[in-house]
Amino acid sequence: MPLLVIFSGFILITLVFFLILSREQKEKNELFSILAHKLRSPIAIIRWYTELLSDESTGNLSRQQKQYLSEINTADEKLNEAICLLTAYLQSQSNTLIVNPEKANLRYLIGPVVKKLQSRVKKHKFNLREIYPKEQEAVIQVDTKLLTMTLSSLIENVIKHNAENGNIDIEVAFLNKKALIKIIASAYCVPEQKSSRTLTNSVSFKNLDFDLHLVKSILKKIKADINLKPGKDERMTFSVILPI
Amino acid sequence: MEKKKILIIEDEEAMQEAIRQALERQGFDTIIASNGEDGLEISLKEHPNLILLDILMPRMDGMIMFQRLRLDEWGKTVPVIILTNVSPNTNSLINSVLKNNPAYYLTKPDIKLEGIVDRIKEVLRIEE
Repeated sequence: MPLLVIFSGFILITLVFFLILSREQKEKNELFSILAHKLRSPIAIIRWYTELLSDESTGNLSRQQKQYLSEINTADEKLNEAICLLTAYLQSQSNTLIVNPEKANLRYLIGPVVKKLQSRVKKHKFNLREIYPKEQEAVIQVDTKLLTMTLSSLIENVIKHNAENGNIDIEVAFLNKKALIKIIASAYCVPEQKSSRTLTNSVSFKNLDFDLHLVKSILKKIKADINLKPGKDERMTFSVILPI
Repeated sequence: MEKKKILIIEDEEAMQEAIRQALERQGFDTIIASNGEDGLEISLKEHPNLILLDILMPRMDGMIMFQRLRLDEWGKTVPVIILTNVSPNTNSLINSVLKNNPAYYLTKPDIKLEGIVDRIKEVLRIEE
């Protein structure tokens, strides 16, 4: 009889614990929804009114006005990306991030990311190449939104730190039932104060930009891994390893 | 040719106006509701060709409105595009509602007004 009482008590405590946990999860979910809503509403408004202003039916704009609107739009997009990355990171840390894997061709995920960054690639005179396997389609099961977000952040980081006229190769390969996305920067320059801590065999993400730290955390949630290897003469390779 | 009628259910006035402008420039008629409760009432009365629905709204949120809409005979079939700041990755309730009641889904800052209009045209073509 006492054993039965103890056992029932244990079941009850476990139930209460899970009820509290699930209520906490629900509260966190709601918090992140509200956070996303508060931060992203003004971003959408800026984007849409910039678009309305740019439309001819609103009136003619001078070349300079169009250029200023373009700058506002670019900054707005960057802010949106930063918020998406930060929100996904916070959720990944609190285990409330929902991952929705679907069949995707890496060519059609990476291609648009590169296209979006073309103006910066041209401005810095990079030679950027995308290399895909010849023998098979680069198709995997992955949460496309999360992977696109993280790849975009990673490639932007590489563009930011690569010296002018440098080469950037984005290479997709399949090895041992995994997909490997390599981003190889020929002239990756880490700021001087960080370089002694980073250009070693064990490179810490915390020593590079904070957004790479967020990227690593989110990639873990889609069962991907990332490592980076500094090479000779400032050459840096970021490798993202994904299950197929 | 009769103009297609789009019901915009969105609480943020600046967004209502931007979407309304973009749609009317493309030849659509628009009706606006600022919360789910009014949106449900108007949709059942006016029978728009398509509903553009926000989720986080006062009085009645978009998910509850959507579930109640789908209980109605007409409401079962009207095309709904959910237009929200909330990504499906962030909310398990949205995920579970949409699994049982499929709807088109767009996340706001990720899409231009032109993209919203194009999607509406595409959905109306499919539904015809």
